Amino acid sequence: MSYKPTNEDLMAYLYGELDESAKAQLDQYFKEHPEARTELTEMEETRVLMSQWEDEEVPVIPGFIQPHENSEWLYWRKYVAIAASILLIITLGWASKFNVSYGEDGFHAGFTALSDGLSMEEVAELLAKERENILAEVDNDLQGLQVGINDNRSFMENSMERFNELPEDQINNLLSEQKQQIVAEMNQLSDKLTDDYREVFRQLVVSFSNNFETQRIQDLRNVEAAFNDLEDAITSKQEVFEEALYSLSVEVDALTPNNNN
Amino acid sequence: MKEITLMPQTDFLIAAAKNGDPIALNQLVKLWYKRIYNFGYKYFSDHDQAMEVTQKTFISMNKNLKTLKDEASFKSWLYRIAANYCHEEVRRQKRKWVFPFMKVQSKDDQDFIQNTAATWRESDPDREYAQTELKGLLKKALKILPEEQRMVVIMKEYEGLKIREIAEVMSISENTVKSRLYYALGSLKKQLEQWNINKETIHYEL
Repeated sequence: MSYKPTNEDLMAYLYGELDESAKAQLDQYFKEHPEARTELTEMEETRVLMSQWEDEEVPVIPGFIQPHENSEWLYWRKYVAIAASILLIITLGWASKFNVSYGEDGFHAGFTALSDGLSMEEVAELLAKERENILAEVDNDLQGLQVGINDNRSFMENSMERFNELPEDQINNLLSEQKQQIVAEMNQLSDKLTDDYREVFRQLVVSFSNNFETQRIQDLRNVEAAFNDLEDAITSKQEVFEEALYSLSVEVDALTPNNNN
Repeated sequence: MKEITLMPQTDFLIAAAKNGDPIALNQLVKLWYKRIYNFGYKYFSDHDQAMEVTQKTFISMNKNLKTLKDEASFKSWLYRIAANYCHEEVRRQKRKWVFPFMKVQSKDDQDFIQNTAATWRESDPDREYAQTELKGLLKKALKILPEEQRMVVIMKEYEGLKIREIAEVMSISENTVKSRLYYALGSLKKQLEQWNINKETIHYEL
């Protein structure tokens, strides 16, 4: 039966972790199979090559501080901190008179002593009192108005009575005085208006006449210019006519000897 | 290969730190901080992410050290915390893909890896090799690996965990660890060959 080592055997041999009997068996095998020995030698060389990578130096080795003395305290520290926080909150709440309660009326929270709100009866009583006050004020106002109306009425009645008591001629005098006064005011107004209108018309006529005269002068100038143009036109036509006549006479003179011939 | 054993004073420091000795705790951090940082750095190739994972790991260690029952398994326990934070960081980064502009750096990295691979194939390897740092290429070669293979390789090659410890950290079988190592080394070999990185070129450069 031929022996053939496994890959695992080769590794154990390579690293010197094979027991003596197995090692002897493998040594014998290598003598008979040099190619297997060569493979192992190549692996050995690979190991030598890989061993060229030396160790790196560690930059800093930190020191460990062992907190044995305080380990109990470190464990309980967080719970003590929580308890202290709760105590602090309670103390602050007590110092600031913070109150919280929950009852039939609901949840209450506040910084002063808690007191329940008004009952329905108390609220109804307050509303009734307020209503009475408002009604009393309205009554007072109405009474004041009534008194004022009565005063005015009595004053008017008194005045009517006194007016009726006056004699008829005195009334007529009063009325005629009033009438004369009104007429005088109307006359004054009329005079004032008359003066104003007269001035307006005067200015209107003056401006019209001024305008009219200006317009007339302009028209005359236009006519004059038109006549001048006409005169010029006539003169020029006359000259043309004379020239024409002259040329005609020249032509006639020229024709005359021929006719004579 | 280098083999990092559990520092001899670690057991004592763990016991003291569990009893609440802050000096012991700080010493423990100092002893392991560099290892966890380098584990994170090789996994992400990114300082910030490595620091994030390292800090979270040691905060978690500080918090949960009392729950560690077997002090001998401190190393696996610590790497398990770191590995979990690495996975968490990867998930966090993937969630950021919802907004592509928030992942610019990683996308640039991927483009750079691809461009580098193409350049190395096409041009003169010696000249390019002289211009490019070996470390940067190894970093990229590692980053190309699938996450689960990468983590196994880092734990084995750089952190010196035993296969059993890696299986414990990652909650997988030892055979799975070996299998992942086998395929990861195969991929790395292939990749380095593509870039013409071998024993000769390394010696030439060194």
